[in-house]
Amino acid sequence: MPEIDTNCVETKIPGFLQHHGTALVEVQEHMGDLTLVVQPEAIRQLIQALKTNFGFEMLLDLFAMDYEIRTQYSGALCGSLPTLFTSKKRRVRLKVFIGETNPEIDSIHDIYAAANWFEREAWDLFGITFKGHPHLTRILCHQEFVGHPLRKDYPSDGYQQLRKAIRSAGM
Amino acid sequence: MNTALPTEPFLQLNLGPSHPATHGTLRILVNLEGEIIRDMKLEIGYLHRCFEKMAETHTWNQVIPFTDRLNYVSAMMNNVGYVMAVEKLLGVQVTKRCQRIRVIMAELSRIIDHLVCIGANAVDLGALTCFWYFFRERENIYDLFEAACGARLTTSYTRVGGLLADLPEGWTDWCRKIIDNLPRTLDDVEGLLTTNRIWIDRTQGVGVLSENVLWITDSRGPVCEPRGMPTMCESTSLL
Repeated sequence: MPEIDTNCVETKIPGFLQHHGTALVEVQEHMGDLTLVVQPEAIRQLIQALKTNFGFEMLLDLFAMDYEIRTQYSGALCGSLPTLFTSKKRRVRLKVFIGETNPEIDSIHDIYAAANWFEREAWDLFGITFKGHPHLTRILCHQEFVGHPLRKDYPSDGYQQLRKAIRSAGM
Repeated sequence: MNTALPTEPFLQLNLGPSHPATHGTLRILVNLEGEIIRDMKLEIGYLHRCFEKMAETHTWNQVIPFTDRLNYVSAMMNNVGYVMAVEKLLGVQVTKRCQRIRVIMAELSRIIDHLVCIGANAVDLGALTCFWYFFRERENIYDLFEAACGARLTTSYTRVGGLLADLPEGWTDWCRKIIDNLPRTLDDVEGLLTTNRIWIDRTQGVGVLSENVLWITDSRGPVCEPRGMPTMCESTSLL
């Protein structure tokens, strides 16, 4: 486990490390933004704790990234990054590294309802499966679309001819 | 959504997808009972052009014109948001004057955004006059944008670390004059809409979001204001 600079976590989320420090892989701070890199299996438990015990009442965003250059996390590619926000002007971003082949992670739609569409977007564009999501279907791309366009292995000129009209049942 | 809406005993109707030049291409499949919408499903992908993918093959500065097109009414605000993100990655601090000009541009964008929103909303309910009153103000603000950067809609005014150019001479006085005239137009539209029977009948009590729904969907902003819940403006700062 890498060395973790815990000062910034304690300043922004007092008492957090005492209970949840073991789930942390790394702590990143850049221009005042706190990012906690956490273990994938701990994500639900951590987000639930941040919501109920630390006042992070709002999910601002949830998205994925495809890191082409991988250094310290060998084989890791896609991460889901929920950004949580409190009314006390505190923000925290959680980062999870998951594998390139069949990336999957637990859904948090039942903790933050706003995660529902964000997770569909991350599935549509990156192909990340959110376990426990009620209907993980495409939200932006056409239903005929093949592949996940924001993955780095999807070509930037990968246009697809789509013909069928969208079925109302498929909405 | 995986399942179709139950059709009985409702009338099922497709609203849209309409032309991109309208307020936004959106397909809504609704279940109607008379004039009342009982259920709906949304198809939001029509406006998705995957600018993120295009950005992969362009340089940081070449992405700025894409941000104009994210929302055609507040191009300035999207310009500012994008370059701020890049500046944060770089660790660059822009000058105070630049920050202030960006705030002014973002606020002007916000004003025209609201003018178009309320005006178009009224048009959809059959009140065309307000729209023209607001459009006149919007044109005035577009004149200001044109003087600053040469374009009205697709501004591309910001640059990473600064702006395309400083404001031209006399711009601030011109801007003050336009802003000073704004309350008169607002009063005009207020007089036309706020106590208008049709407007009230068609908006009051329609689509009310309960406090519970607002919390669980993480809604913020004006929809929460009447309910005394924290808004984004209170709880975070843009710049």
